[in-house]
Amino acid sequence: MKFDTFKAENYKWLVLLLLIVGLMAVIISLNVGFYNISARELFYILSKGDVGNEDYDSIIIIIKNIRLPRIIAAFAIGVGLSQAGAAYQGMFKNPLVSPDILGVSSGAGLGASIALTMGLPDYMVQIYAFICGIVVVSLAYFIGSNAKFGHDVSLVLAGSMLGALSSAFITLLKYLADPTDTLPAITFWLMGSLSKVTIDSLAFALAPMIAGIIVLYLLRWRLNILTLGDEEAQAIGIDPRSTRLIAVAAATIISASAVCIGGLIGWVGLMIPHIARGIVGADYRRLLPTAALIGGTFLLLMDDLARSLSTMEIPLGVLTAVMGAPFFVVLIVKLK
Amino acid sequence: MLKVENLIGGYGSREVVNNISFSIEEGDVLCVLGPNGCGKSTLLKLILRFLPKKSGKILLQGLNIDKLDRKSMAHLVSYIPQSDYMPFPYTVIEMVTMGRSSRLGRWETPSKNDIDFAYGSLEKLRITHLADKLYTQISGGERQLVLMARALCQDTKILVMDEPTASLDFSNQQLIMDAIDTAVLEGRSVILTTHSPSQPFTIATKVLLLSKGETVGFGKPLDVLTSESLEDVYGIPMDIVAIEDRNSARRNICLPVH
Repeated sequence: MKFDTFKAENYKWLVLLLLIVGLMAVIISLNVGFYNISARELFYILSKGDVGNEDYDSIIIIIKNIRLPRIIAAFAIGVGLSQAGAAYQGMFKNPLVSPDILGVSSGAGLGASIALTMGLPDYMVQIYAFICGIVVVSLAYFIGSNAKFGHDVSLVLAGSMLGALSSAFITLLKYLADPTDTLPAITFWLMGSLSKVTIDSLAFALAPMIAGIIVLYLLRWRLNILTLGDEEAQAIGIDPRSTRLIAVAAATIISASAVCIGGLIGWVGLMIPHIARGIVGADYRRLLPTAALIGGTFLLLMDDLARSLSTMEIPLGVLTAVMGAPFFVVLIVKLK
Repeated sequence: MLKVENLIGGYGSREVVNNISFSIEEGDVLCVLGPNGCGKSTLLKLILRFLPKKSGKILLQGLNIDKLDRKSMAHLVSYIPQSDYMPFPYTVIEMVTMGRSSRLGRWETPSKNDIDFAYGSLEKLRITHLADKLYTQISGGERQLVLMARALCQDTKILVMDEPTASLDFSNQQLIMDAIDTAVLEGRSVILTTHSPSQPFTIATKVLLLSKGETVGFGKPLDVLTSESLEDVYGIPMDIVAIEDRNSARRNICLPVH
């Protein structure tokens, strides 16, 4: 990446610009889908609200029950994953880290697969995914903090180990699953999609996600200090362990919530923080809000593509991976 | 100001630092000298409490460091590491402002005053022109000066430097020496490790000569650094030579003899 120094006084204009772009993306997304809603109808509904005009009833139902939840979900997941990714990259001093570094995605995937195998209803699948994601990261944290060598390195190693273990169990469950209904359900869930999002399922996951995002934002200056490494952080007067524990907890809750809304959507948490860093620099005080706005808008537009590129919906996780893999190559080649 | 008594410590059961005692006062510059593996870095890590000590006592301005939390310790002593790989493009002023962190609450961010203080530290070392440059893109010597400015921004009485002149060219080494002078003139004390046996003659008020984790000598440079003690520690014949520079100032340098 080529970085030019970002002028701090331009920051508020950048945020304003990103807000406008984000808002435009939301309006465009309201218009994307099978049922064609004209711009005039959309504008009328947005400006007048629920007017009781029968002509508009079906449109209002589509917007309220289908498109709006989906837009909120896409934006929230984009925001959440970019925040968690930025936080993890900093606290492990590693720009190639993504939100599932500590195994949260594989853990959540395992939880969802278990619930789907047992034939549980959708909301239980979410709860299982959320809990298993958190359990896996907690285990990784426990193993990592008892290691005799570098705390952050052992944490990442424990996370990858538990992630691999969870993946093995997922494979086992898929192997044993009924190929007519359970297997496709697991596969579809793991690919990541927002087609099943409802207002109720959103409410369950958004609360912890927002809480996590707020905690990371409040911790933004301390996140800068963590990127210096444990010794320097200590010398500067910050306890890296307690700070990292709070940051890991917040980032994990965010990732687990994101996974349980939309399944496994990779690459966003890796790419977006880098794009944001390329624009505003590394300081978390500007990085977090910038990454949030870019991440939310990006995933929203990706989801628009997912549901409009072909007559059949393309899994969102596949689409972000197709965008993400070339980006990763560029990152490796160009990173200084 | 800093007092170390019978310090023993190391990694696990391996004792790398064995029964070291010394003390420094305000305005002292202490050079810790010795061959690779003599325990220089370990000693610094014990003083900064990066490593737990096995026994002995470390007093910072009369306070036992075992009884201090990280925050209070950071008000007394700062650390200037060797500039290391930094993957994230912070600007220099952001990097220096981080030195104020021990004075901020967990959820707080630096105020205008903190940032002004950071600019003040850059000014003291005459590197304000670097403020908006990226730390990842300036030279090694400049990075070392920035880390020094961060320590001044932390505003502690004692500065601990890990081989500040290693891997720097001649003129950059001199800039670091000037920066140390600046810190001392403000009434601070500096502890640094070095691999150059001549360096203590130009900047140090005291020398601690180590070999295999034990003290070979502690005191004024001319008393501690003799051809006998250096030969003993490094295992090669060495001479201390007094010369006169162009300003007729007497200087001592250390030369290996063939």
